[in-house]
This record gives sequence, C-alpha cells and structure tokens, in this order.
Amino acid sequence: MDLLYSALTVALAPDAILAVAIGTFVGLVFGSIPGLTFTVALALVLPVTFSLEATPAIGLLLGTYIGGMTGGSVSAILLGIPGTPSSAATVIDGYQLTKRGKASLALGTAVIVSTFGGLFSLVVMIVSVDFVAKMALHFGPVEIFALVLFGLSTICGLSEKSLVRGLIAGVIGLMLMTIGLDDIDGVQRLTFGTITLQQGVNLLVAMIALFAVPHVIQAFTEYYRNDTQTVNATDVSVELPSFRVLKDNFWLMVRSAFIGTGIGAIPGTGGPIAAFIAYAQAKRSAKDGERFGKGALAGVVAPETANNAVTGGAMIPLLSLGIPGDPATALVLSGLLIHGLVPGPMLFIQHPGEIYAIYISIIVAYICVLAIQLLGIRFFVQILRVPAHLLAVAIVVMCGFGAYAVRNSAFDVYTMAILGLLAYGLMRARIPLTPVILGLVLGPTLEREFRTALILSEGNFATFFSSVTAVVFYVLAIGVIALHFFGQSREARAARNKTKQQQQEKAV
Amino acid sequence: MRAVHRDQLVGTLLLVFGAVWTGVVYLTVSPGFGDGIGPRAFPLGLGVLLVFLSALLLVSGFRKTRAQAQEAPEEDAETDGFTEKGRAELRMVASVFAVIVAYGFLMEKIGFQIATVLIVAASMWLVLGIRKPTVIAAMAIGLAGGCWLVFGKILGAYLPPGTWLPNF
Amino acid sequence: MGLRTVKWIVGATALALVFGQVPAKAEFPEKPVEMTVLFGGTAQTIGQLLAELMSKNLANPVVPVARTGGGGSVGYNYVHGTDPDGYNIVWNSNSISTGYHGGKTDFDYTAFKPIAKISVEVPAFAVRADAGWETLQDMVDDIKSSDKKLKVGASGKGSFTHLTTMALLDKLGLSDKVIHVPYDQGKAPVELLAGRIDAALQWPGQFISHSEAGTINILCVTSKDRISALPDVQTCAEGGAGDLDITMWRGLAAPADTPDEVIVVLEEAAQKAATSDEFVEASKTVGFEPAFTGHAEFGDQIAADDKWIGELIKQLGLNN
Repeated sequence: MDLLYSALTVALAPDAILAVAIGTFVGLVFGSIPGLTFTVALALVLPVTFSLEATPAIGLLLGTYIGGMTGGSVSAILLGIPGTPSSAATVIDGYQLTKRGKASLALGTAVIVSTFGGLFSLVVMIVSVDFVAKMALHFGPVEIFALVLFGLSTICGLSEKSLVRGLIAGVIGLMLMTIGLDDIDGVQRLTFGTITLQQGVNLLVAMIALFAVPHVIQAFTEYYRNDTQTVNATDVSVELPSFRVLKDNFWLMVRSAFIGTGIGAIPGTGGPIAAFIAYAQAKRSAKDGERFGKGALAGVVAPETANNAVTGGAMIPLLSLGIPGDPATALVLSGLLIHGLVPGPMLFIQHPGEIYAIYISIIVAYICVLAIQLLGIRFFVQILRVPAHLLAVAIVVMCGFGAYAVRNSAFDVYTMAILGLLAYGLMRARIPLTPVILGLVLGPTLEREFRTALILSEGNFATFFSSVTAVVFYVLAIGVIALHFFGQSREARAARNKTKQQQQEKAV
Repeated sequence: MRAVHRDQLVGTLLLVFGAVWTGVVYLTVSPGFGDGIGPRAFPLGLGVLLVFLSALLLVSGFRKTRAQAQEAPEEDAETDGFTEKGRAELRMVASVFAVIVAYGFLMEKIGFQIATVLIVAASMWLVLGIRKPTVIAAMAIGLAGGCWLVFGKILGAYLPPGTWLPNF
Repeated sequence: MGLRTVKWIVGATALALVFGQVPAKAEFPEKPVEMTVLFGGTAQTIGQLLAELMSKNLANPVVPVARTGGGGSVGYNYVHGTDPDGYNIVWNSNSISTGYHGGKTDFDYTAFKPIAKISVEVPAFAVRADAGWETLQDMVDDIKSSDKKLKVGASGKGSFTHLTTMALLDKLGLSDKVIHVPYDQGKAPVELLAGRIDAALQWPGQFISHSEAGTINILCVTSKDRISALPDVQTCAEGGAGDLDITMWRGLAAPADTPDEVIVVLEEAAQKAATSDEFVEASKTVGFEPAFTGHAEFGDQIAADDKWIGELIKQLGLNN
C-alpha cells in the first residue's frame, strides 16, 4: 500500500500530469493529421525525455503513444485517411458516417470506446500480467503464422462484392512488402542492384499513399470541374453518442477489447490486425451485417476498442519480457532504458513503484485523451467546412513531410507518389484498398514466421500442424471463408428471387 | 467503356504484371540454401498467385459480358479517357503525381521551407488554376511557416535543410 | 495582381524563410551538423544522447537524423554522397564491414574518415537455465556426445550477431552442429525461454533481467575482457573458445575527404560527450560500455575488424 501511495504521489505530481497531457496532445496532433504518424511523434519526443525525471519521462512517452493511437481515428473518420495503420479498419464505416453528416457522433463514439478499450486492457494487464506473459511465450513462429493467416482471412469480409478482387488487393499488399533487403538471409530482393531500394516499402508511407493520394486527386478533380459536393457546413452538427448507443454495443466493446488485449500481447502483430479481426467479428455477429460498410456505428466501435486495447496488451511483453511489439513500443522501450528501467521479469520485483506509476500514467493519459478529444470534436468537425481543394493542398504538404519524416529519405516521398498512382488505378478498377493495407501489415510477419518455423523444424512442414493453438486458428480461418461463401450464395439466391419476383410482378 | 470491359483490361494488366514480377523474381533473387524455403519462395509464390487471380478475374469478366449482353448495361459511364470528366481526372492524376515527385526532390535539394512554398503555389496556380494571389500567398506562406514553426521549432523535428543551398 | 506579383511574393517569402534562420558564425560548425543514424533501438538511443551531449560543446548543434534500412547501407550511402565538409557525419559501427562484404554497398570503410570511437557493445551467449549447462564446456561436451544439433538464435544471416555466433561456435568446434535461427526485434531471449531454441547470442541487456530471475544462464561474453555489466560472467576465451575477441564498436565517421581540422573539432566534442557523467550513467542501463578512442586508433580498429569480418563472410559463403 505504501508503494501504491508513493507511486500515486509521483505519478500525480503536477509535472508528471503535465508531461502526460503534453504527450497526449502531441500524439493526438500527429495521429489526427493525415500523413503524420505517431511513430514519428515518439521519435521526436524521445530526446526530450532524456532530461526529465523517470516518471514524467515515461508519462510523456506513454501519453504520446496513447494519444497517437486514438488520434488516428480522427482523420480516418473525417477524411477517410487513416492516421495510423491501426485505424485503417475505422475508415470503412467511420467515413461513411461523416458522409451522412454524423461525423461528430462517430468521433465521440470512437473516443469513448477507445478509452474503454485502453482501460480494459490496463486492468487485464494489472491482474494477469504473469499469466498473459506466459501465454505470449507460447506463441512461437507456428502459432503467430497461424494467427496472421486468420487475420488475412478477414479479407473476405472486406472485399465487398467480389472475393477475387479482395484477394488480388491482399496479394498486391503482400508483394509490395517483399521488396528490399530480406532480413532472414540478408539477400536483396527486387532492388535491381540499387542501395536505395534496399530500404523497401515502408508500411506508413504505403498507407499514406493508398488513402491520401486518391483523396487529393478526387478533391482536385471536383474543384477543377466545379462540382464540389463536400459535406454541407450546416450538416456539421455536434452530436455526441447517447448512453443508449454505448449500452447497445457494450458486449461488442468487451469482445473487441478482449481481442485487442490478446493480440497486443503477442509480439510482432499489433494494432492493425486486432482492429481488422475485431471489425470482421462485429460484422459477422451483427444482426444487420449488411449495414457494415455503409456507416454502421458498430463498425467504428469494434476496431477502435480493439486498437486501443492493444496498447495495454503490448505493454505486457514489453514490460515483462522486454520485447517491443512494433516500432512505436520500441521507442517507449528506449525511454524506459534511459531511465534505468530494464524490462524483464525483474522489473516487477526491483521497481514495483515505477510499475504502479506507469499504470497510473496510462489512466491519466486516457483521461486526457477523453477530455481533449471530447472538447476537440467541435473544432475537429470544422475541418469539414474548409474547402476540399484547399484542404487537399494542405494534405499534400503534410503527407510529403510525413512520408519524408518516417526515414528522412526522399525515396519515401517518391514511393508515395508511385503507390498513390497504383492506389488510384486500383480504385478505378474497383479493387478495394483496405485489403492492400492488410497485406502490407501482415506480409512481413507472415513470411518471417513461416520461414522461421521451417528453419526450427529443419524443413519439416508437419510443424505447422504440431500445435493445437495453430490448428484452432486454421479452423477459424476456414470457418470465416466458408461462412463468407455460404452468406454470399444465400444473398445471391435472395437477389435472384427478388429480380424474378419483380419480373413476375411486371409481367402481371 | 463498360464495367465488364474494364474487368478484362484490369485482369490483363494484372496478369502481365504478375507474370513479369514472377519472371524477374525467378531470375534475380537467390533461392537461398539450407533448411526452410529461402528468400525467393514468397515473392515467387505471390507472383504466381496474382497471375492465377487475375486470370480468374478475366474469366469472370468474359462470363459477365455474355450475361450482361441480355440485360441493360448498369454502370458506369462516369470516367474514362473519352469523357470530359475522365480527361479532367486523368489530368489531375498526372498533376498530383508530378507535384509529389517534385516535392520530394525539391525538399531534399532546396530545403523544406522553400520547397513547400513553391509546391503549394504551383499546385494552386498551375494545377487548380486558382488566380487569387492573396489566397495562394496565404496558403503557401501559412503552410510552410506553420510547419516550420510547429514541427521544426516547437517539436524539434528534422526538416531537410537543402543540400543545394550554400552555407549560411 | 498578376503572375509577377505572385512570383514576387513567393520569392520574398522564400528569402525570408531562408535568411531568417541561423546567424553566421566564424568557427566550425557554422550550421548544424547532421549525424546520420543507421538503426533504431540501442543505436538510436545512444546516438541521440551523444548528439545532445556533443551539441553542448559546439557552436551549433549536432542533429541526429535517422536514415535506416538495408542493414545500414542506406544511411552510409547517403553520407557517402554528401560534401566532405564535416556537416554530414555518420554514427557508424561494424555494419560498414558487414554491409560491404555482404554485397549491400559498393564502397568499403575507406570511403569514410574516422572521427572517434564512442562505445562498445559486447554480445553475450546464453542458454536456458533448465538445460543444465553451467559452463560453455558443459554445452560443448553435451552437444558433441549427442547427435543433436544446437539451435542458436541470432539476427539474420550476415548480421553482426550471426557472424559472432559462427565465429564462437567455430572456435568451440561446433560449426557443423549448429542451426542458425534468425530473429529480429530482440525476440531471441523469449524464444530461448519458451524452449524453441537452445541458445542465443544477443546483447546483454536483453538477458540480464531473465538471468537475475534465474531462467537464463549467461555462459560467456565475446570480448577479451569481462564487461562491467556482467562482472561474474567469464569471457568466451576463458570458457574455452581460443582467442575469441569480438566486440561491436560504435563511433563517428565523415566522408573520406573531410579536412583534418574539422575532424579534430568533432573528435574533441565527442570526447567530452563520451566521457561525461551523463553518458556513463546512461551506459549502465542502455547496455553499452563507453569506450572513447581518438581517430587514429579508431581507424586501426576499423581496418582490423574489416579483415576478419571479410574473411568470415567469405568462409560462410555469404558474400553474394
């Protein structure tokens, strides 16, 4: 109890709270501006923490991390451009809600469920860190490969009408990520002997290109042809989610939070896959599944709860095993190390006070997120009043800066231009873009775990069926695909019957 | 150009791309050695998969053509190179591509601030055809100065200073 | 207002933005020095700290700029292409040699002029505690007497930890009884804990907490002398690995034609930074040893390391 008390005094000291609040704000700004990502924000904040005390320093980093994770939904909902890969799933229904004039409702819901997801995962982390860490240990290459395969099966639910198109999109995403230096064998792939291409396609750059460039092209064309059909300014009302909405979606939130926490705890997977799996399960379990993709609020609730639940989940292997799950948590790890907190099993024994302080900082960060975002909604939605073509010019600048800042390389800006062209082409060919993101996110993990598993088994393919967990994921994946085909054929039959009926009616 | 025709075009393009990709991977990537499947297997397999999927798309395109011959053409006369809207859109695709490439190049060579001013002005004047100097100046200076202030000064982000500029 | 007005406004703004910046000073550096950082993680953490401390001793700041990718080759290539005026330096490491001999770059270490060595990181070799191997010799005997192969986790083929692993196992006479399992992002210790691999060669920081918890045994460190973070762990040489002495240094270098007077200024700033209390303090938790040496001695070490790395890569057939 003394420990908790002293942790409270440290973590709730004015400087610590201020650090968390500033971090949250910076994270929100970077997350919510299309083109800027919170990985860049964390890299910027890290050197600042060197000169701070441990608790405010870690609070600043955690605030940035959490703020960035929630901020990603703002541009996803308002502009249809995800601020982080984790919010790519939110675009599908969030942007539709904005088109229907319900931007503030979507934003408000996103913030509230994000906070719920984050705090839920924190509770899971506090009560069961040892158990979850043991579970995470169980996830070796075979199990992670199976999980990723299951994640890819959600392409089914994302491919709207044609599964072939969805699969093509997914494969293109997977292909893009094989360009560059192969980490396992140190071999160059499709670099054509150049050093520049060795850096390969960066996930963040690709994401910016896929969503922002077509958006800019569209806005420019509409302006050029004088048919601006942006959201009418009078539609921009501020309507927050009612308590009922939350009550109706409560179990969905709990399920999504579980998914997010679980996946977050498995190193090397992270936010995007959690968000997509949560979205897919929400769509499947909904009574009105066909409303998904057309502006269903549950389509915002599920991915936003899940991707924030990842934050708490990811802290478990980070703190108890010392493995960062993604580049963002790797930067948080650097901050911990600089202040003498070496993650691992001993951290909880040697520094229990700091651990409590971290927990409290996370709670403070979510309170800040909630306060800043809820107050900010009325300002965020004003962005819809800005003429779309001027906004598009600003997006070009932000994306140019953002793409460059990822690795300080002009190559990434060129990549953005080329992938933007590709994205536009795919859109015109009516090939959905979301599965491309899924392929981009999961590609490297899928390949690495597959090959590592084979190296471990000395080339024996039977290894992929040696684990019960893995088999469960395969079965789930097959189930998802089967359900999809089943649903599709039923829908097709229904449609056929309908047309037949209409023809008969006409004939009558 | 109707939707089904477009399916065939897209299918063919993707098929060719997949085939070229597969060939290039086969010829240039080392197959690797030892246990496991080496660095070539994945890109190679993906290339083949794309060829297969685009063939499927092609086939379904042909099937649809036959089916749709009886029904009325449903969609979509909106955009291709032959309509006015299509031309406008193609123009914008090319412009946006050029703007981004130029931005990347200029940012590295003459620095973030000047590149931003030039690119914003160019995209408004040349691409969008806006002829209001005050608006252009406000946007160009506002964006360049705002980014410089917020990212460069307050947050301490690295803004490329420009390798072509002399010491100053 | 016509096009001319716009041009004038644009031009004037551009000038204002450019010249409204740093007032010129006479001595080097007259503008910020760009320090290219090649990797994330520890490299970035140390690099950023070093840059901050160096900035205190120079007229203009040292700005760390991350240019990652291609196992460091992207960043080396960038600095290699800049003017040799001291305003572009690279936070380098043995990766200059692994990159060149591994066929990733077409220039070798002579493309850069050494400024100073800053720090050293020493890989450690660890096994699971319940494997029952208390010393390196226990493990060697056990593996040699069985037909089992040793699965060792290290980073990808041709990486520094992989090469160190191969060099160590070669000295122990196990080079044909090893399966190299590549891991990234520091996952090797976890895979070791989970029992999917038998041993791992990684940076000590990743093992220390688990070792204190009693789940992992650190058998040896690959340097000539024991390291301060693990005073009770013997060196691999003590443990029977011949004369093994491998460390990974990090330091600063500039393009080859950079004038010496500039190098000296940077070297002095680096020395002050690397010997400061703050740097030494951070070294304990981040997991590296401060090891400043001047540019001449640093140059000798780069050349010596390049030799063995080149030979080992050729021997392993990784020089593609």
